[in-house]
Amino acid sequence: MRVLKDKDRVLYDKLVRLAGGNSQIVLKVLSNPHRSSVDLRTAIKEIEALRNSQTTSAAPSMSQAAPA
Amino acid sequence: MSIAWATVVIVVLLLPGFAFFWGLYSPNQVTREVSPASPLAQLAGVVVISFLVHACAYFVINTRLCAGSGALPAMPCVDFDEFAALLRIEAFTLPGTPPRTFRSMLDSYAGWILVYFAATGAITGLLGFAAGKLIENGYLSGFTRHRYLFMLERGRKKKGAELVRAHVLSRTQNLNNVIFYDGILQDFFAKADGTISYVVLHAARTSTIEITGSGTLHSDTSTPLDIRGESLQTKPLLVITSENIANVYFEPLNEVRIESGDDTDALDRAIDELEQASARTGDGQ
Repeated sequence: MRVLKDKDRVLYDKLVRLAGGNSQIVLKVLSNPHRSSVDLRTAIKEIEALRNSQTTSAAPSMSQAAPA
Repeated sequence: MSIAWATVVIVVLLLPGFAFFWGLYSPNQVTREVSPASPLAQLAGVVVISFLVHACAYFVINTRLCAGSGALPAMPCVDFDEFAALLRIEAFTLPGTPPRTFRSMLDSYAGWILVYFAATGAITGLLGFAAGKLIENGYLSGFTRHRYLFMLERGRKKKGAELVRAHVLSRTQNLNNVIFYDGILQDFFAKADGTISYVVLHAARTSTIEITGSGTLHSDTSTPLDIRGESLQTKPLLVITSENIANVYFEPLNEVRIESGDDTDALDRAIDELEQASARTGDGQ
């Protein structure tokens, strides 16, 4: 039994690309228990926010590691 | 020869019953793939439905429609004696056996017989289709054996993107560590009794679960199986068969609504901007 439509698979892969290849970000956005659906624009914003927050949190640790 | 001929006649007579079940299974994949758990019971259903349909058709044709006072004077009545003789092929094939009932009957009524079977087949097929749609939409829940399968199939029928995440606990283990998979459920096949046959995962990741004396401990990180997947046109799949599945936790994700084509354009632009920025950063270094 087919569960995943081709166009949904393509959409998921695009969202993962938007998340910088981190599928955990996409799954976190789409696993919100307080809603059953989300429009694509909101999902894009949330993915970008999570991706940027992870990037900024990773940057200081790298700069601290660089002098060593 | 006579046994074979009688078999052919009986199969043709069962056509309305077969049409009913064809219609019943056609609206969705779930019933088509897992419902005939008991072929013998289904054959019994085919016989019962065919009998009822022929009885109703006999009653309606001979009392309301056929020649005489019926609504369609041109339509011949059903002659049960001629029909019963149809099962005895000896009279048809042995030479010199008068009268040749079947040949004259077929010559005279072949068109009406075809119309009869087409009509009864179409009506029962449509009735089966309607019953299948009712089962699919939850109105005949008593006939639904494996309701979770309909839940899995629901996303495929929605306009928006509703993905199902599958968390698969495997039977592969080393000491107290058990391999754990999760990914987007792409295909799912169940056996006739509703148990899992195999699952196919897209974008699968693997991790471990340690079974301790106080409970279970899931590893902090999970590793994608398709490490080179970004560069591949055809995305790899993970197929896990029932022999390696301890249990599966299905998690329907939020449905992604696409209001218009502008939304997908916005997504494509955002990806382009991100990848161009990444390329510039790479060049700068």
